[in-house]
Amino acid sequence: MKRPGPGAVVGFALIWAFLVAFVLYPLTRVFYDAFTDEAGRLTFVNLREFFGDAYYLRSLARSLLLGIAAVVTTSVVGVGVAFLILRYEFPLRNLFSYLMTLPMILPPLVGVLGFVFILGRAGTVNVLLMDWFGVLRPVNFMYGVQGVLLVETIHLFPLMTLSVLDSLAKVDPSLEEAAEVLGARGWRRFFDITLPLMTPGFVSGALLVFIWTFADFITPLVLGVHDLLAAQAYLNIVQFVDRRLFRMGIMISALLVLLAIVFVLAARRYVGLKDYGTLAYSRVERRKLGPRGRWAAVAFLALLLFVSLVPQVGVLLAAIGRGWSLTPFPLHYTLEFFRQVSIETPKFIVNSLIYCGLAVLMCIAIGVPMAWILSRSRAPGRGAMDALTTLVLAIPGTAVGIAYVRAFNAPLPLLGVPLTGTWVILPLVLAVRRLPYTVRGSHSSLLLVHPSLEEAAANVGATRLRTFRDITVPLVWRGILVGGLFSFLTSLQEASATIFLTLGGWEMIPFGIFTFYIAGSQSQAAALGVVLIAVCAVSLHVVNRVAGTRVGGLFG
Amino acid sequence: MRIAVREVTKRFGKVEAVRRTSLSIADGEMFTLLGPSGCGKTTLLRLLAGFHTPDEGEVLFDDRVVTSVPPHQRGIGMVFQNYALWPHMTVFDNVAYGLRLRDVSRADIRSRVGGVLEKVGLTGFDSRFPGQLSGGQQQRVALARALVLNPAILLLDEPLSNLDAKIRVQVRAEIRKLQKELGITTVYVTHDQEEALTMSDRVAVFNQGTLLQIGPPRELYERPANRFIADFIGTNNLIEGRVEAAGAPPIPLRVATPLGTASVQGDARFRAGDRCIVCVRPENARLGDEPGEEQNRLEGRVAFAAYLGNTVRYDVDLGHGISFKVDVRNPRQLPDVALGSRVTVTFPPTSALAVPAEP
Repeated sequence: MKRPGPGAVVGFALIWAFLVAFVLYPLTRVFYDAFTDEAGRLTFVNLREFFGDAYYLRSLARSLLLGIAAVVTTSVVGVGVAFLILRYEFPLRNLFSYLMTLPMILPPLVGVLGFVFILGRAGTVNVLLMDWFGVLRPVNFMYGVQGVLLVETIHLFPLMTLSVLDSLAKVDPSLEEAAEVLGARGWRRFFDITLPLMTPGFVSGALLVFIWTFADFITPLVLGVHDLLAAQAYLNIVQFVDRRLFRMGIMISALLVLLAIVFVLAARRYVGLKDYGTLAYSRVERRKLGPRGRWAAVAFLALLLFVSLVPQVGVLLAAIGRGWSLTPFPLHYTLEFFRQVSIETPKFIVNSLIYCGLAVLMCIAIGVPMAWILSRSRAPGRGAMDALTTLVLAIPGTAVGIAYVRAFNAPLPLLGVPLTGTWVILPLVLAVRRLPYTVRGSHSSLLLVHPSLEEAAANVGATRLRTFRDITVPLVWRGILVGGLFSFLTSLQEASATIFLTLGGWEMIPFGIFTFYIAGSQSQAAALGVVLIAVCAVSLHVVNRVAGTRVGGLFG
Repeated sequence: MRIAVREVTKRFGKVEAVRRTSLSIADGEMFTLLGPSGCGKTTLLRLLAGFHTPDEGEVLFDDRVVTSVPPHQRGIGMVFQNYALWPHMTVFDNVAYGLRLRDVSRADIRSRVGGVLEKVGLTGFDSRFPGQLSGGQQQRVALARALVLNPAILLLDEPLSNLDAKIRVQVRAEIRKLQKELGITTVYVTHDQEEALTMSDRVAVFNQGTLLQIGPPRELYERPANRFIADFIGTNNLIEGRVEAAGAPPIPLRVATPLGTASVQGDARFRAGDRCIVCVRPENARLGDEPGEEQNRLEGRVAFAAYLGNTVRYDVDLGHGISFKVDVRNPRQLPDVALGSRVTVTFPPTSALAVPAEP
């Protein structure tokens, strides 16, 4: 092994400095704040107060329950979709497999609004029920935990589908046929053979769904649900009146971090036990469904897709409708609200593009070398680096936002202002949040470049730099670019972490949607929602063009 | 149990994977389906297993039509090419699974699994997981799992293809021994002609969905029915020619080839003027002149020699673009023939065979 040059050592040190300063330090700071008093002495007052307060305990219990409920609903829907698409042949299968990823790519914040416009108390469905069926009081579809569950399920089931698909695709059909010869059929075979073999993918999907639901405060708040842990954290942090409440907000975010870590460790342990190294991808011959099964499959997927698209239609109607109230659909249409949120106040769109663009550049600048270190070097501390990236993936945005508020509010030595007082904090927090995706994406691209390809170049006389330029880069740039665009796409939608850090003039699109809606300006919120969908759609289109496949092609 | 396949056709889209195939397998027979990949042999096995239903024709076990009987009611045990051991279950659980599905009592399961594991030589491996076993051991677990239910028919889908050459030979013998011991009707799929010849009572050779020949290994090797089989099974020198004078054993055919006229064995269906292929096995030819009027003699140059230990295989260039392989046994007792030297190749009419040029 060649000794690394001084440049490599400096780069390595810089990466670690970044990780320590912007991942390790803020997270530690949250715990420090949660367990010290104003004078910096160790105290368990906050912890005791949390567990002594019936309201907080109820919020904790309800959050846990909601998380579990979301895992159950997304499992049923997500696993069902994965099975249909991977194992069966039916009309429009390809179209469905393409469209099924859409709900995940559409911004969750916009989804909530759209559901409210269609299914809310004065939404289309209730108006129709009252007009046509003489229902006297509107049915409460949305306001309450049931609404939160509906929104989370629709938003998150594709995540479950994608996680399960990977595992399911590795279950060789002969494993099931072997059970069939012995007489295990239908559900018996599913529970004895297929399900246990899918556990790795299922557990990682369930974990993501659980943590997302558990830490989401925006959906519950829009739907008027306050007694959930993440919502409490938000409400306690954003009020600047009561120091004690503020401390409780910190305490709750420390709990969010702790629980996320515990869940990740537990899931890792469990999956580690169930990781079957012998499994490999295999081609499955898709079964043809009978006429009845065919109809059922198409009907199920069409219904799912319809429900998933309801919010987009709702948001669009609200954005272009004028004076929409107590009618199923708007009576007058206008583009005024678009003008207001774009030409009149362009800051939302401009900020979003600039901050997210900068975030992606940071991601690539730090994430690609990290991926290289993880896959190619034998640098010390690689395990810790890998663990830290996984941690970032699991820690909810809510907790990251709160951690940054606490960690970077001291004035910087040379500038005289705290980091939270400059807009740089926004692209920075976005970059940290998306870093794991970039690292993993580049890592898997690099794994595709077998070292022997580079060795072959070296063998015919190419220098290391030349090899990197002529062999490695042409093989991985596409993967890195797609990863970067995907980070851009998801950064545009990020709201949880940035909401805590946004000051006047730095507002991005999701912040605008949230504050417009909370302030009662539904039309402006909806117009910004449509803009966000449009920007996301364009980015997605570019991703697809560059990747040369459809993202829906993940469904195979 | 006897198996009969009657006029079975199976299509995938427009491709006929198995075309109007009929064959019958006797009780206790070791029957091999042999052919290159994509020839339809696995499809036929899966038709027997019940994973496919034929588009035309029927499958009978003894005298019962089983064409639409689901796999688990056919009384078959199956070993898959990749063994298909469930990685989340121990060896014991893998083997016991079928018994558990049939509500066999715990004590019975224990004794039956123990018995079958002993039979395949895996006693003491009960609590291992498949990932902790070698390929050969996994193969035996798969065999035990198939046998524990005492099936009337055993189906083996290329069970040795994932094993090292040495272990393959060993497991091959074990399977054959176990099969004879149990007297179980066995259908064995392979693309390896050596495997087919050593293990089978009878072999059916397939190509492109069509059954070409059924017979005992010796018959396939010594009397191939057509050019494909002559070429596919073992090594053969094939020379195209035209029948000059018909004959029937023991009278040899006279065949005109680009290299001259040859006397070869052939059956009575050949008429003068028919196109045919002369087949000569490398081990049936000699380098150097042999006494005897009736010997076929060819002249050529040694183009290549491969030393194989027990034999040396010479490639002799006979001109006209024809290369002829000759095996010389016990090379230690003979001097090497130098490359490029002119040699005479001889072979007796009794060990050369004419087969139809089509198909």
